[in-house]
Amino acid sequence: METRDTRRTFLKKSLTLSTVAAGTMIFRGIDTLWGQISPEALPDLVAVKNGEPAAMFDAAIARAGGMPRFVQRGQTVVIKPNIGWNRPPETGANTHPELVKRIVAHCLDAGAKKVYVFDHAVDKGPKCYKKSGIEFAVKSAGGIMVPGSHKKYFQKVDIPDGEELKSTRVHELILESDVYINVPVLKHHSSSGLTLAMKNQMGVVWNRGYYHLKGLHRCIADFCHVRKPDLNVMDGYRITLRNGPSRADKDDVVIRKTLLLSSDIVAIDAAAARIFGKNPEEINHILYGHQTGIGNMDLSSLNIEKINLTG
Amino acid sequence: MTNPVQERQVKEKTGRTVNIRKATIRAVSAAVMMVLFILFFMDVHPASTGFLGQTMAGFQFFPALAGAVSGSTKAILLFTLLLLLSMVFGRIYCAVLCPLGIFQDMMIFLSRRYGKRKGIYPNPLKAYPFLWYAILILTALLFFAGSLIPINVMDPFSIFGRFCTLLILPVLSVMNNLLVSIAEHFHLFILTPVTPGPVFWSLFLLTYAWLIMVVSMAFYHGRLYCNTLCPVGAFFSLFSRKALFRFTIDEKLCTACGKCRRICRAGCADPVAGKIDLSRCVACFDCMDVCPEKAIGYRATTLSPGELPQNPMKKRLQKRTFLLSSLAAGAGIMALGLPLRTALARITSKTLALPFPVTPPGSLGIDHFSQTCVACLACVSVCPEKVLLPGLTDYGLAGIIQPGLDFNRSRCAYTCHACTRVCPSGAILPISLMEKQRTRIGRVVFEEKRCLVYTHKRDCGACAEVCPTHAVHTIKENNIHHPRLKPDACIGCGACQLVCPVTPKAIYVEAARVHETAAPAYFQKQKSKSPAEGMGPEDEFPF
Repeated sequence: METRDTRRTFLKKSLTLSTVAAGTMIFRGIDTLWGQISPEALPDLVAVKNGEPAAMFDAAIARAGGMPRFVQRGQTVVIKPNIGWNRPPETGANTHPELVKRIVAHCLDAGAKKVYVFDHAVDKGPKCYKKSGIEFAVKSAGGIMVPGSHKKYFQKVDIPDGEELKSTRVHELILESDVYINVPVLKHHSSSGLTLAMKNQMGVVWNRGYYHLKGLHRCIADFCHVRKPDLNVMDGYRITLRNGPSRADKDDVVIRKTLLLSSDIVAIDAAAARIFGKNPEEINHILYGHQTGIGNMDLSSLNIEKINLTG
Repeated sequence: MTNPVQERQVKEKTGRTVNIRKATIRAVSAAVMMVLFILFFMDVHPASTGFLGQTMAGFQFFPALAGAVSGSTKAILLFTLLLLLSMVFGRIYCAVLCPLGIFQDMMIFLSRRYGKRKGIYPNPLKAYPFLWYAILILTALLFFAGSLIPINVMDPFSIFGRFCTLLILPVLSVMNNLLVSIAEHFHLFILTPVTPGPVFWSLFLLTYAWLIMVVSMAFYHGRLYCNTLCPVGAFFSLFSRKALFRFTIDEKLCTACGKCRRICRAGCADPVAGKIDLSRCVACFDCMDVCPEKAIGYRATTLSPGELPQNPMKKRLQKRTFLLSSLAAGAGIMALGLPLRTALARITSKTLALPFPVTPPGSLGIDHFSQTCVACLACVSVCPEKVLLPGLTDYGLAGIIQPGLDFNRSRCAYTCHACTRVCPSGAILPISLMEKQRTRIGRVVFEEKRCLVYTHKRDCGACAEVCPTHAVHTIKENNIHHPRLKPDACIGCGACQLVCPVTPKAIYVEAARVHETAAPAYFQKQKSKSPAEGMGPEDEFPF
């Protein structure tokens, strides 16, 4: 069972967090401690189980070489969680706010100049930011929430390598930021079977309807030619099993306390599909992503690091 | 007999005597009302908008009348209260309750300050009763014939509402976006840009023309608009001329200096004849304060100036007869008119636009809505989704400018019932969010032969993804997710129609002529016992 956030637990948590933060300042970052792992041994994918979102991310990023491997001092970072729905955290419709908060904190700790967070929500943007708890979480960690539901932020981009998606309007932060971190939530999806890291990128373009018109899976794969995320973090804390993506019934959502981390967007989706109990090739966009060389869905050929926080 | 409402004299701590002028009291209360109206129509805060919608906005003449005719007890009470108010105090409504009247007073204030003539109008005594009462009679006749068109066009409350919704709000959103751009230039993401609602040029021009007319009439001719065009003014004038409290000029004190004539915003004071035209007087109290001889009084009286003193008993009887007869006339008109109206409404409803307009949740259906909506557009200004938009001729002869939902532009958000909390006339009744989520305002229609999942054999599912009740959901066959309907669960929110990528739309919503209660949201359930079955053991990774 998940503990409720009472004032006392909140105070305790913030005290712990600030102690950790102070500690990292003295030791020049936890990440440097883990950074002693030789680069050749860095895993392609890290999978963590049985922890709270923040703790699972701490473990995963440490095993992946620490945040400084992805974020250099003075760089700008854009984090793209799933904030598509005007739904509270317990519905599992959006990315867990604690996870997003922790990623923001790690980026700032690694010396990022600015950490931006946005999503082009399906429901009314400002309401989703608020209801999902992500706006509060990001701001309290020092990140910046940027609007994502107005056309003016979206710049036209040509995709010469795209098969169906030849050009689209992309949020300028995705194009301008030094580091792009994609933080999807693992959910059943009524149109694409599952919504994972590749599908989550539909929230950085303006015209989603075009994807639906031209072929959902093909366009999702095509978009990866614009910019692949530097890091993908899959939130599998709460998993929507059916009636996704937004308004599942209460018993359709299960707590599985899982987190995946990879810089390979196809590999992380393949692993997430497996966690859901599906073969990756069942989800067409994963298959297309593998075929066009965007990433590798063959998990057996990857160096996967598995961490169980209870064990 | 002494004046019962003599000027209040307040002793300040300094010992100085300060006169609080009645005109000032009137102006301040009007100003307070104006602030409330702006809070309401500009939707400054959802809580205040909802509260004002349920309280202040009900005290409006046509909303109360339309509500009363639709059978709302609250509206009947409010309407009676307004009637009694005018019978006792004259056109107080025009002085402190009517937003358009107060708006004109603001123009008059500017005119007095900056205008060339300093608020002195050239033809103060000219009245246009023929036009004025013709508009009133036309409005009343068409209202009982089942058409709200004259009310929609002429209701001062609605006119002011449209000034706010159609003229001021778009300007404010443009200004907001300008501020957003400036702030973002300095990398400050503190404001959210908004997308203004669509502009309907015909309606925009109508409203703009009306604004120019009202502003120029007020600036140059005071409350001429209220006394020439406004049906509410015409209606209250019938009572104000015989009201209990009346403005009278004491001929013994009056020196015919003409100060009252020059200040009167309604142009109704005639000191030479010793009369004030009470039908046109909007009860602003300016004349009382300007009179150097204190010759103008506001007294409970049965005597018109110039009338011969009569037997007081007889006068009192006359008064009572007047009150009773006007109440009886009102009741009679209602009793006779209502059945007629119901019969004629059948004819007007045949002139509805096709496809039928979708009316907002809480409006019971097209007939109730079009027969009650005064077109103030308060609901349009609060609709966060900008799905509720003013129409022009959607409701045919029943009414114009009345809003409807346009699912090609937006959809009705499942977690929102903002419009149901602001309607002053009860065209949209207040319903809870839970009720709204079960209220069917339209029915989904799915045309498989247009749907590209069926024609192109590939995933789309845009409709199922956004359906809040899973009335449209997908069934996986051959690894393709096929949209299927569970129409009982459909509430007609229009989300599916909005996102359907094909033209013409493969899925769309047809208006429900009469709103219904939908079945609860539909959820697909697997037959397996454990919900997480198939996901593998909890402590292991499946790779």
